[in-house]
Amino acid sequence: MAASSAPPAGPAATAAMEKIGTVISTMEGPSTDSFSFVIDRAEGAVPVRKDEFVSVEFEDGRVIARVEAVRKTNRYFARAESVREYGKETEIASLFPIDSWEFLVADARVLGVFQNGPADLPVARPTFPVSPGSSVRKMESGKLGRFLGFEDGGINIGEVEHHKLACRLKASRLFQKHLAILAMSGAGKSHLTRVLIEELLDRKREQGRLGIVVIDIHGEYASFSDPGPYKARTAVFDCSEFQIAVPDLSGRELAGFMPHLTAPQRRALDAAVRGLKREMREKGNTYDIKDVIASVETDEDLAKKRPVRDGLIAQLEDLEFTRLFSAKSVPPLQGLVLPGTATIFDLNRMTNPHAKQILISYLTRRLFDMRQRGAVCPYVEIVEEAHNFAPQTEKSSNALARGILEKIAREGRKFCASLVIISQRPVNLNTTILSQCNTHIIMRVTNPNDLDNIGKGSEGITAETLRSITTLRVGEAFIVGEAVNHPVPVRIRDRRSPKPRHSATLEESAREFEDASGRRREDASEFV
Amino acid sequence: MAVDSLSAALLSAAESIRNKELERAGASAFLKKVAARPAASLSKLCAEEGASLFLKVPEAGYSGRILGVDGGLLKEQYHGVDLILIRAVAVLFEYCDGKLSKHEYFPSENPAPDPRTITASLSEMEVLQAANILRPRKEFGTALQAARKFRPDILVMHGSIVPHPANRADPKGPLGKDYSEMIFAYKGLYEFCLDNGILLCGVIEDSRDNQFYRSVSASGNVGPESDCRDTAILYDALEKGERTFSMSHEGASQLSGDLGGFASNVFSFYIKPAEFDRPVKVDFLSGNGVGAVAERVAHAVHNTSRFNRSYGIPTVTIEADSRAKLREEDLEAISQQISDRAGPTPLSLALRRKNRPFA
Repeated sequence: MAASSAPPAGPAATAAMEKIGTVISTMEGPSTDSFSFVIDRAEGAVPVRKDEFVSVEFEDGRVIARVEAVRKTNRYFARAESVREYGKETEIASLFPIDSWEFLVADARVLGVFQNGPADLPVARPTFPVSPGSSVRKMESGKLGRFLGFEDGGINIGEVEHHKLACRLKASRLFQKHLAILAMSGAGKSHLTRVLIEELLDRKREQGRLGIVVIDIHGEYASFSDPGPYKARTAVFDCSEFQIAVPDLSGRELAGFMPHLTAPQRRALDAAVRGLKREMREKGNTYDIKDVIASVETDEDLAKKRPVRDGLIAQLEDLEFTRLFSAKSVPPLQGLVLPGTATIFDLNRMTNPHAKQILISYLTRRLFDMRQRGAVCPYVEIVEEAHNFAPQTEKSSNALARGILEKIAREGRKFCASLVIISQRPVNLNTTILSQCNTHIIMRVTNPNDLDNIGKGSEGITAETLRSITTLRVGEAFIVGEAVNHPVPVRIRDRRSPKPRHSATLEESAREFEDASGRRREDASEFV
Repeated sequence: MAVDSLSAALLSAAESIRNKELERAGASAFLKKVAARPAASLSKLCAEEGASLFLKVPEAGYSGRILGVDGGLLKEQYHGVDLILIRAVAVLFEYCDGKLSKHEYFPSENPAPDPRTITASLSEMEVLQAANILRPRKEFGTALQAARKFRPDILVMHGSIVPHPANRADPKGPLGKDYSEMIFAYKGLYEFCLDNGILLCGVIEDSRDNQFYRSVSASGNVGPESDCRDTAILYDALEKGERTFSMSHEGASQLSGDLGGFASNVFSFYIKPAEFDRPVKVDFLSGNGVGAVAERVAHAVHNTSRFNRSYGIPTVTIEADSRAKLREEDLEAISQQISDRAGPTPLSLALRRKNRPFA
């Protein structure tokens, strides 16, 4: 349901809103795209800030605009040589009334029009400019929520910057066509992800609950299972113990983990796996990766093709080395993803990057297969450090999960399997996946290549918004795309879940390490 | 060849400037020489100020209430109407030991301009004269109201405090009434300032006068002949922080009759508050004790003007000028509003020269 607290449109609705400025005439406007306004002086208060939404009455209704820049002008400081001269002996303020010459001018971008008439009239495109001299007013929250496309009871990720308005996003608009969270390290990506998980866990059955799968590379979300509001609805799996059941894999699937296999090797592997499966059916036994290797080694046909056999064995041994393959699946995936629960795969203790690629590839593929068959509920898969698993330029051997992530990005919407892609290097992220994420939440990014990539890949992002991204503070974000009608600057709310386990600062970690070393030395000397 | 003739004309112009500069430098050197001579040779001119050609103005932090007044004017000619926009603003600065502690405006910091339409069939020169009458009338009227309100120590007009003789209008002509109202405004301000002990002065930025050099060279100190402007001659004759003695306006003014007895109360000197700027001419009103009044006026002007090495104008005048200035946009907006109310008429059509079919 759309936010219904909005008052009806029309002049009466604006009567109580505070006037903050007056539209001025400039070389560029007012136009249908933008206008500038001089901001009223307000003692001890800043009447309007960059990124704030404002409104202006005009003939057809109310124009809604976002402040893109706020400038200060003061003629006493307009000429460098005069400033230097008058400032030589004393402060300019002690000679001239400089304060009374200071003007704040804001540049606003027109976003849409609330037409006069019933409150539920759709927001129209601006087709006529506002008039110079028109009053610019603050935007009331209810109306703004409706304008931006928020929903009562939606995913509440924080507050719209400079407005007392909760940013409640409609879940289907946010997740169904996938979401990308892009930001540099330390900008608050993990915090935002925690907030999203909390919101998904807090959803009531009647709102439609999703399963949540988290590929937790650094063990940042394991604390959801710590005592607290989410403990009962969270399952954390230490992926150093994760096992893929080899009997569940076809020869082709197994070959998928070994991208360097030649065609004869693939055929040989397929034959070996088929033999083992046949034997398992006949004798009721099971098998693991060692059995696959043994089967290849003892294959009489392959004994005559030693290069094929030896190469295949070497690659199977590489798989064995990952310790990911056994006769039984741990944990069993069936029943693992449930509505309103979070399943966190903690990869923190996994050090082998190849193993991580295999695990994510396997898990993602299996879950999607199950979802296609209706064996699991609609779910959201959150992939941290996505640029490592779905890179744009890496060889496929280092990007085992890219194919399946691309597939879900393209087709997941139809099966209600959603991706949340998180990356600190958008420039390295696969463009197909990024372009299929219809909503982007962008936090602070300063790398020019990443910014350029975001600018090209995020719909509706203006050059001015792009510039703002470099100056966002930790915990601030821009939402662009499907989930909102217009780019929205947001301050992410505080978390409700327990503190992350690995949240110590550099100093705390150093102190902890030395304390632990000291205790070990003391214990050793006591023992001696 | 056109290029050759232009080149010759440019050379000729440069040559005439070079010659004038030689004349100016000679006159300037002469003044410096006179300034260094014994005082007796100048006693007729400036007995009240110690018979000195140039006087030092002490540098000190100014303390007091200084009121600056300036006016802004824009005019536009239409097919059958002339529109003149005028406004005047008074700015009060209160200084304490050289620091601005308070400021106020009259009637406000951004007053609406007064539109004046001239529908009579006047020549362009007469319209210009009208503007030159209406503007000081407005300025002096505003100055009087502001002086009544603020009671400053000194009132600084931007420009002369005596009307320009060229603006004198025939009392029976179309501008006669405006002219007499202007004179009335001048006299009203003089009277109020003299009665209330308010120093009244006018700062003339770009004076074209040469009365000073003429009077010095005619006082028995025979110097080279020059009709250069005083400010040009004094440019390097005066040092920073110096002023000339005070000259009476009475003999020079052709308006003595219009101003009545006040003509004998108006004096002027040149002062150089900024090292790399030309001197400014300062008119002032003095009932008696010209020397003491000149000293007080010079002190206020110098110590509120000396902060910029290349622009020596009182700070209050700079502020008043900025506040009074009218912009073309103001003229367009008011002209549009008048047109809207007057309705369509050929009288308000733009002039052809502003409406060419091609740029």
